[in-house]
Amino acid sequence: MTSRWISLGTGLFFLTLGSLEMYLSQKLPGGLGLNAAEPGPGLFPMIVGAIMFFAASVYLVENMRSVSNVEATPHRIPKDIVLMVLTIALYIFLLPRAGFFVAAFLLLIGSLSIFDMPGWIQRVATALLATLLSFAIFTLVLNVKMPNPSWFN
Amino acid sequence: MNAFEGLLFGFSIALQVENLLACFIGVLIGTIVGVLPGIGPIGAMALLLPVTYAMTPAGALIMLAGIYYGSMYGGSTTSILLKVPGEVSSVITTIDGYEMARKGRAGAALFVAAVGSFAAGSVGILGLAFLAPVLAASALRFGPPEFFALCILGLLVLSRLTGSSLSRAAVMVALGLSLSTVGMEPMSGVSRFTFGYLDLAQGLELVPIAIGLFGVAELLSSAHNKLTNEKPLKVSFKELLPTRAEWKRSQWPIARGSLLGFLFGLIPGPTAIIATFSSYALERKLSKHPEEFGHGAIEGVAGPESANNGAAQGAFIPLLALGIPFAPASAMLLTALLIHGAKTGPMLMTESPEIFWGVTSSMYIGNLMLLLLNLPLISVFVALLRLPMYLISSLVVLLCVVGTYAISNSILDLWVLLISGVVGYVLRQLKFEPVILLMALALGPILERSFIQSLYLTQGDMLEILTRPIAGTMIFISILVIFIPILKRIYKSLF
Repeated sequence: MTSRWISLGTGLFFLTLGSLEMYLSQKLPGGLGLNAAEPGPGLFPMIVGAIMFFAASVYLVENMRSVSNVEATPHRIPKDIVLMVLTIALYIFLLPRAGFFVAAFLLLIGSLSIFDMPGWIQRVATALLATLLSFAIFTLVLNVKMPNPSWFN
Repeated sequence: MNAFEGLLFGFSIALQVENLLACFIGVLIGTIVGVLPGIGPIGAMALLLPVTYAMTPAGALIMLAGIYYGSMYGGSTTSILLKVPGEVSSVITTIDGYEMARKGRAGAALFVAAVGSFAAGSVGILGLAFLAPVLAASALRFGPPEFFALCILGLLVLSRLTGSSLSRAAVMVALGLSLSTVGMEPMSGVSRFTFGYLDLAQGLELVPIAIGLFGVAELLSSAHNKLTNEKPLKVSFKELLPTRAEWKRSQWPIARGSLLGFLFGLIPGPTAIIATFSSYALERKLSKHPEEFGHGAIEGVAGPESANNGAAQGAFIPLLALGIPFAPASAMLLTALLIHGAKTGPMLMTESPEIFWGVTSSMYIGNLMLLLLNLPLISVFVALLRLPMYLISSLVVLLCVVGTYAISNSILDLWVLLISGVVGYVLRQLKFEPVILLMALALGPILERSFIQSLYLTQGDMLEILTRPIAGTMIFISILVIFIPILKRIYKSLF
């Protein structure tokens, strides 16, 4: 993908977002208000949407004129970033279902692997220790209530 | 309460055991954050916001402020020993600091940096104690139009100072303000952009977005770049003290850097960085040996290191006196104030004097703690640099998710965190500034409220704002901030 295409996509995304915000602001109950002296709940978002629309238009014009048509680097999303996002997403998915211990342990295993910690046994031991330590600190010291899995109850 | 009485009252708050402990933890974490590359003070403050829920508002602010100015101290250590700035405001220190370290004068460079930071901190606190009450007293006369104009000015100036193009900055401002409109509208109670999700009626929490934009985005970036441990130069306690000549050469740069940094701190934007570069340029210009700069001139360490701490202290004035964050770190502190239900703005000083004066006085104690911590324990902090990055990064991931969940035991907050992290990473890749987004998000509710109140006040005629001297002047400056760069560009293209 070229830099020009990335700029075009970004500009169009914000242009659409601004348009959508302006449209939805009008549809809110009370809309933009009766007049300027009696503003409705949609007035402020309407103005903000208009600013985004205008700024995105300027961004598009500026970038389409100045950005060269060369290949952008990096042109692919790096694998490690995707893995990191998926690992955190897995933690969020598992937390209410499997509880803190399982979710945090898997998060740490995933994270230590992505950040290249050598040796599987070391990874498992570190993840286990860090999970226990963080559980102790957050629940016992700071009184954070962690969700218990349904099977645990 | 005058400034002296205020300071005395502040010390009675700051010297309470729990606040002393909060201050110590804050400056210690700040120093560690400053030493370790990767997570910055804003990310660390965001991560620790949930921890402050169990504290008093004054204790929470004391700890978070300690992280901020503590990181300025810590940032110099890696700049001098590794040529890797722990903080962006320590970039300039890498030039002469590292050269001094290579010549075996690392101890002297670290000592001068610590003393300079302490001196600047002291100047900043005195300025804060005397200037903030005056500013807050005049701000008590501010009405909604003035607050509206001030918010506009703050956002515009910050946008221009971050180096982002005007269109990029405006997109970020609009995005931040848009996110601030999600949830129940305060005047009418109408739910906006919640799409039927009841959890969104309270609005988007600032903390998960802040942790996502700075903490998770930084982690995603380091997952790709794989930071490795560098080998720091050795420092022994024996060589820590500077020679008489080095000390003599450092005194005036410290004084000038402290003052310059403090004055820069009063301006919106990432002024700590600008202050350090300005101080370096000034010292080079005033030096009898400008040729030594770049080869280990001690003035090149003393001036900028004092300036960055002076700016960090100066940035507290607009926050504590007006309730307007002019720097990203101030936005975090404002968030903490809002979370703890404290009155922000000029009313802070009258309604919560223990927060204002407690935080101000705690900075003096914190700076003293930093001086005592940093000099004898320098080797301990250097040892931290040997901790493997995979361990630090993985623990930070865990801290991000557990800390976010702790805010309101909400799974939605965790999804907001993850989405904000991905958005923050993508925005950086596309050269957008997430800092502007966060500021707009923090200022959004204040801006909207003052805008709507101004409309009621002026019967819908917003042009009437221009006839009010303070609001009119601020709007005029805002217009200049937008148009001067555009006019400059047109002038350059024509001639």
